[in-house]
Amino acid sequence: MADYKYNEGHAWALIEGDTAKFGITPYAAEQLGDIVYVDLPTVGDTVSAGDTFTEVESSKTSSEVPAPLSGEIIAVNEELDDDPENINEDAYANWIIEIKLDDPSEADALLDADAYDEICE
Amino acid sequence: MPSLIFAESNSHDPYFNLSFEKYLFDNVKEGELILYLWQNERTAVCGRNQNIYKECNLTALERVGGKVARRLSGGGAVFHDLGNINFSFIARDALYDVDKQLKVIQKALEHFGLIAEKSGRNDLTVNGRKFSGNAFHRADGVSCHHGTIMIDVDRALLEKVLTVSDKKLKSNGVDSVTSRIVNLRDLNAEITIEEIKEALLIACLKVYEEENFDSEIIVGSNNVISATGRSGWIASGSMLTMLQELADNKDFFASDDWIFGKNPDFTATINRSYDWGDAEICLVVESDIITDCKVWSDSLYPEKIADLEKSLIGKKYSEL
Repeated sequence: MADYKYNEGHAWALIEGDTAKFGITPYAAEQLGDIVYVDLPTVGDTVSAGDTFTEVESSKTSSEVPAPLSGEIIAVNEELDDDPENINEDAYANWIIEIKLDDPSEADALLDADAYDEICE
Repeated sequence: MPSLIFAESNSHDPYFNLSFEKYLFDNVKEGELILYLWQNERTAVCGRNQNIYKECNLTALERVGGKVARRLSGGGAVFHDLGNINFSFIARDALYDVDKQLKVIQKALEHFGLIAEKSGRNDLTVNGRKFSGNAFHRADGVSCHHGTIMIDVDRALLEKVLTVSDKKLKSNGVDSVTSRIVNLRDLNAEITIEEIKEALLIACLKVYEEENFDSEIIVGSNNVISATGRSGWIASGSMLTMLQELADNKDFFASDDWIFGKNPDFTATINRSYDWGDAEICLVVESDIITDCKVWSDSLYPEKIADLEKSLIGKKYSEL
């Protein structure tokens, strides 16, 4: 998991060049329980680090998730429209959005896996 | 010192009441637990990710001058009128405890000799019949647990409003679950809204007795909130900022963008009669905008069909 970065809002970011995919962490998925809906934003919209980029509804609660990084949304994972529970099965494989990064150096402020694990304890 | 904050709305406007709840949610501090009580005039309130057309009979609602609203929490559609009272528990993570919060409702009912039990994740029942539906929302380390308490709701209207016969609508999103419901008044004729409110406050103080809370009361009425109590909860920010926040929240909850635009994308089939013939119209709707349309008709005027298709694309479904 060396390439994943995290924010304190339990979102992960996987950076590939000047783009990044976002998802929620397995810890978040476990806390939420059975996910029944993922509110996907619109391609072309922009997100800012710290602002809500998706809202995930489970059988327990609806939960807003803050974006780890800023940029323009270039793709959303539409499979989650029909199968939101995929996130429960594999929270890393099931990314939610992909963005074109405004400023790749923003990633320096994110947590690495060890630091993220600490806040989950 | 931790504080227990009782908030109450004197308004029956669902958009103001949701706005007040959001204000409390956005401003609650560490060490504060808020219990907010509110009532809406006739309103269908659907869950955050539900398709309103699938869950609420808007025609039946309009006939009685009712309103439709969408809340921030998940779950299914509910119907409110003045025979129902809503409670919201709002706190940051450290104080938020759903079991304890439900205990408050249970204890309040004990006062009237009723034993309330948890059923599934989201309901409270007496004798297996549901009187309270609960829903949950979380953002930025703050959680809200809110629910209905049916005292004397117009059940006939409730059933009409929450029953939708339109099976021709296909949508993703979250479905409502119907269950056997009961008005508490039918179990104890003495229960009134005023008495349950008092019982809830007393129960809350009892359940949280050990926490040694300071307590205060704030009341909201349409666009004004007055605060009493030692810590001056409201006064900690500027009054102007607060009023602006409330007004913005209210615009948000009352907006078509939120109420109808949040509907998950769906397809609908509707039948309409025109002077040139009957038409079956299939629509694809995204964020309330009709993005695709196909008309089937036995009409002898194919150009009418093409015109109709053209005229519908780009229109708002809510304005059909």
